[in-house]
Order: sequence, then C-alpha cells, then structure tokens
Amino acid sequence: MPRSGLLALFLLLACAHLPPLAPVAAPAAAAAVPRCLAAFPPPPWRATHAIFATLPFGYHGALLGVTAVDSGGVLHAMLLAPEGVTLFDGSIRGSHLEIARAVPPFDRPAFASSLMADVGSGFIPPAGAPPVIGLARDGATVCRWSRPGGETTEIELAAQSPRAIRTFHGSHLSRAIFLSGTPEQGFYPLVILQVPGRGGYQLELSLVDHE
Amino acid sequence: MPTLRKGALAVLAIAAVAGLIELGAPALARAAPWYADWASIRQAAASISSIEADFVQTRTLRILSRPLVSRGTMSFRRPNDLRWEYQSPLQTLLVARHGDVHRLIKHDGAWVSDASGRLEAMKIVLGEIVRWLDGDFSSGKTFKATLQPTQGALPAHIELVPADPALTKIISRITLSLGERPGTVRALDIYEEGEGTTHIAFARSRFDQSIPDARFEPPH
Repeated sequence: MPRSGLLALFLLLACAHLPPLAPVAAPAAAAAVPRCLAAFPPPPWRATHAIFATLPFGYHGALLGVTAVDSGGVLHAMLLAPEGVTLFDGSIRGSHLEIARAVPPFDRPAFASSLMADVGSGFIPPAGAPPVIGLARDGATVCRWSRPGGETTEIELAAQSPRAIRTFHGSHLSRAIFLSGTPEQGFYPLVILQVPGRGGYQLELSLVDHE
Repeated sequence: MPTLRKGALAVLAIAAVAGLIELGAPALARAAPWYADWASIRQAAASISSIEADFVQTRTLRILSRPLVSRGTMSFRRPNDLRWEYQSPLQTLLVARHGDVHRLIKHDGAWVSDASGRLEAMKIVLGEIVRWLDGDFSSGKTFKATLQPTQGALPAHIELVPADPALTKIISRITLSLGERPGTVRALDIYEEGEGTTHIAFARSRFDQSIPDARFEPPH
C-alpha cells in the first residue's frame, strides 16, 4: 500500500468516532484547505477584544482581552479588568507555558493552560498532517486535523468563509467556536467560544482593535 | 474629582468663598494652595456636594502599539453615593448607594449581574474612590499617601503606594493629579510593575447639581 494510502487509512481510523464526513472530489478538497485556514489571522498580529463571559452557576463577567502572536509563533494572552488592571498575563511557545502574572482567581493551576488552549484554538491554525476534507451531515465542507493521541480540530466552512471551529478529545466535543460577521484579515467581529459539560462556560469576544 | 476648566478666575472665586485668600495682591501671594495639607484638601472636597463627569481611560501595554481606550461617565454625591459606568468598549456599571454596591454588565441590551465584582483587584481600585472623592487620602489602610507639591511643569499630585507589599504585584502605585478647582482631581494614573499604565482623565465636569437617586441604583 502506498504511503499516502496508509496515511489516509490512519486518519480514517483516528476519526472513527467523530461525526462522519462524506468524501469530496480531490479538486474541491484542495480548494477547501486554504479556505479553512482563512479562519486564522496570519502572524504576526495583535488584537484586543471585549469579552463577556457566562460562567458556571449563572455567573457573568466582563473582561478586556489582549492577544498577540509573533512571527516565531509565540502566543501572548492578557486579561484585564475593565478598570485596566492586569489579571492574567501569559505566553506559550509550543508546549512551554510562561505565566508573568496571575491574580486570584486566575492563578488556579489549570486556568492558564485552559485559557491558552481556548485562545490557541480560536486564533492559531492546527499543526500536524494535512487535514481530511469532507462533507458534514448538513452538507457543510469540513477540514479536519487529527493528531494521534491528541486533540482533533475541525473547521466548518460557510459559503463565504469559515463559520465554526470545533475541537474534540477522542469523540467528545471539547470546544466549539462560532465565527460571526465579515472577517477582516482573519479577525471576526464576534467570536463565541463554548466549552460544554460540567464546569463549562461561554466567552463572547467582540473585536475592538487589531494590528 | 474632575477638574473645572474655567481657569484661574473660577479658582480664585471659589478660594475667596472658602476664605483661603484675602482681597489684594499681597494677600493673594500669601495664600496657601487648597492642597497645602490633608486637612485643607478634605475641607476643599467637602465644599462640593456632587460631581458628574465624562472620562477617558487609556491603557498602555508593551505588546500593543496603540493604547486600549475606554470611555465612560461617573457621578458622585456626598457622602458616599457613586456611579462608575464604562460605555465602551465594554458596557459595565458600578453603582453604590448607602453602601449597597452593585456591579452589572450590559449584554444583548439588558443589564446582568457581574460576578467579577468579587475580584479583589477590582475592589482595590473602586473601593478607594469614594474615600478619595471625599477628600480623604490619608486615612486609608490600603495605600500610603504622600502629597507632592507643584514642581515646575509637574502639577501637584498625590502619590499612593500599596501598604501591603504583596499588593504591589498588582498595582505598584497610583498618582492623582489635582485639579485647579479646590477639592478636585483631574486625572489618575495606575502603575503596574513592568506592565504599563492606566491613565484616566476627566472632562466635561459638572459640580453641585442635583442628581436623582436612580443614578445610584441598579437599573431595572
């Protein structure tokens, strides 16, 4: 079996428990990849968002978010109180996480990695092997990146541009990100991130500025 | 808190009423500024029954080439009623009346309760504001205050440094630039160690107007 065939078989097995994708013709698949990657702004970039958070037990919060990715791929994320006080300041390069500041309750052990995963899912393209391209049950074109033993990321295309990013741990949806409005250089006016399950939350990110 | 922009005439008129100066140039030369000491500051602040103003908050950060600008309004009514409202980019509201404090966020056109009101970092800043508006900078336990007189082009200001060294990890110091009108502050700067400054400048100040109770209560 040729190597490309082995790779395709492996990817199919890796996605065995994920929502099924119907095959698409090779030219359409090739054209879909750059369209899927348009979900992410090209680095380097900096952006600020107004964040409305819906937290467990019906709590709400408002924050200012500042994110940046440099040309070396380092992701920098900050959360500020409306009054301007820095509540969290961290950066990640690959898997190396650095926390410059974390004010309670943003100093909880799992918070930094969760925040970086949220931001990374929404703003950094998935790494790894070329994606599997297919059609979801509703007919939408989907690009799906799977990492052995890791997270699967899929991007769903609307007619004009990407409209959703989903991540899965195994077959379980771990994060859904909805992209709303007309994007400008990969930045959407509104990004809604949902983490399902117990302890789940929703973040609504309204774009304030980008450069 | 904010400054009055009517210039020296207004300052002189108010100072005369307050008995800080006498008529005539020699007396004027001897007059101490309203911020001569803590007692005179508190006395000047007590002469103001209410303040309403707009503000622009400019947050500079190392990773941003352009500052993050927020706009809002504030209202204060003696002795301790406060409304502090951000109108952009976030829409948040803090109202305090008779010590009853509410923090809210506007979402989809409706006000919802803000859980982050429990955050210590926010309480630190906003909890001190009522005390400052009352002209009381010296009795707070959270910050140590020093009064800095006018030095050349640098206007008189009050510098506040956290009393607890642990707090300096959040806020290293705050400066309050005093206004021309007695009892007022025209701007404040919040400094964070290694991470830029938050500058809040007040404008379009209105003093001693009657403010309805509803301004200090959560909207329904």
